[in-house]
Amino acid sequence: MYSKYTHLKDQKTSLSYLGVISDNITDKFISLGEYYLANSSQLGKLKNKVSFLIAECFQNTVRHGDRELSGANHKDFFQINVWEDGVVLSSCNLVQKNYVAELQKKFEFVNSLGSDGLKKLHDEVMRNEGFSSKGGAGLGLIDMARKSGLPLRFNFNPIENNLAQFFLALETAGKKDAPAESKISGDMQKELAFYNDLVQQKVMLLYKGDFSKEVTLPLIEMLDHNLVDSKNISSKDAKTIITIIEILQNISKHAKAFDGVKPGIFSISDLDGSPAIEGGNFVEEKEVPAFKAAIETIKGLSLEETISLYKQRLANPEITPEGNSGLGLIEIARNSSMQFTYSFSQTPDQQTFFSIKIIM
Amino acid sequence: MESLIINATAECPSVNLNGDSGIFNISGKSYPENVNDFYKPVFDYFEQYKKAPKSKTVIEFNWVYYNTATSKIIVKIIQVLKELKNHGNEVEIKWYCKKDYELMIEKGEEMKEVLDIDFNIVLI
Repeated sequence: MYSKYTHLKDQKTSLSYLGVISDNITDKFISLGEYYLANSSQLGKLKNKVSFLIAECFQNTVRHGDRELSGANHKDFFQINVWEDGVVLSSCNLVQKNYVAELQKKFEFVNSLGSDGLKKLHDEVMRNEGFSSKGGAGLGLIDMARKSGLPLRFNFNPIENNLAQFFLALETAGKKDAPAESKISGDMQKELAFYNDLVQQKVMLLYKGDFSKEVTLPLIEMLDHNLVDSKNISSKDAKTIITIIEILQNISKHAKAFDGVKPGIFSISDLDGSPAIEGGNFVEEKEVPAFKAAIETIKGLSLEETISLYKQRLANPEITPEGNSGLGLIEIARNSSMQFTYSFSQTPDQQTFFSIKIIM
Repeated sequence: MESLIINATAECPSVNLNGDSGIFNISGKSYPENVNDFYKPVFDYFEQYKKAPKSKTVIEFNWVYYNTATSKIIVKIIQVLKELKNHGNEVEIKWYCKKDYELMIEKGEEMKEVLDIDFNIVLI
């Protein structure tokens, strides 16, 4: 996980999600985006703009994407990347190939206009002189371009059965007076490669950033929404979501903080039909020996011994004032039938980074 | 005694404690960031109830799932009921779960074993 973490080192926050994009998922993205920007002195003023762009980007996938379409190697995709000086939102959904030329024309047209041209076009469309025959490409597209203040990046990638993947990236910069430097490659090849990597590794969600409770709760809700049918929950799904909760809450409570921020990384992917959950975070040096000893002890136990230890600890109802039970790692071990691996990496700046991978 | 009613949220269960009837119900998901904060009013309510309990107290749990910190809260709640029982009050613990929800059945059985108390696992 440390290599994945360093790969995303320039992004203060990065959240990638592949799966069904619904109102619920969009709400969680908005609340995560708002939390991040509200806590950033430089980007705080982008909060409303980014919320609008997330909603609009999502609307765009609904408007132009066909919800009934599915492709063998396709996953609907939504991503937010928060950089030091700006925010990039990306999405991917399927469209029918015969819409591609029309969509491309509309995007190119909007990109060709400056802010005055966009305002004029906006006013025209408001007076029902819109250029969209589908009703959607008009105002939404214009508003996206106006709010973003930077060219809309897009790419159509033809796949099977008359379908194309429609990639869209919206960017907004934190500094109004400085010429914004785009984080997106013009042809989006870098972004496409990142998306393809995630699809290949069957990632459902990859998050890198701060692990405060304001972040972990929306992440859990997002995953719960995708993995759990509350009315008809299976034991396997319950074990998976409980393990996710324990991992995220462990990071949130125990990760080393740097200037009030607890950086870490989390992902969930599909490994031959079983969920693979991975987490990584920095650990306070003074806590490393005890933590290592605790996890090594559990790793050395059989499943029966782990269950026995669980029961022994459960009988003691002691909970720390912070709400820690001392059962998290044991629960993770038994839920995964002991299928977990971990490592402690020494970083170049002499920090200890803890990684764990659990196969459910 | 006024009931304590807390509506469920994404991470907290619904709570309905009715001191007049002696029937308490906690249902849903439970993974609050700090269980002590969420369950404090529940334990405060039990403290009051213990002063003049009904001859029979029934607690019903109907969990979707819960985190490990909540499992210790459940232990603490059941210990309160054990106290009532030790003082001669009738106590019934109903642990509702779907008949094919093995994990929750197992968790109920485990609680029963750990706490050494009669436990009614009600399959629905």
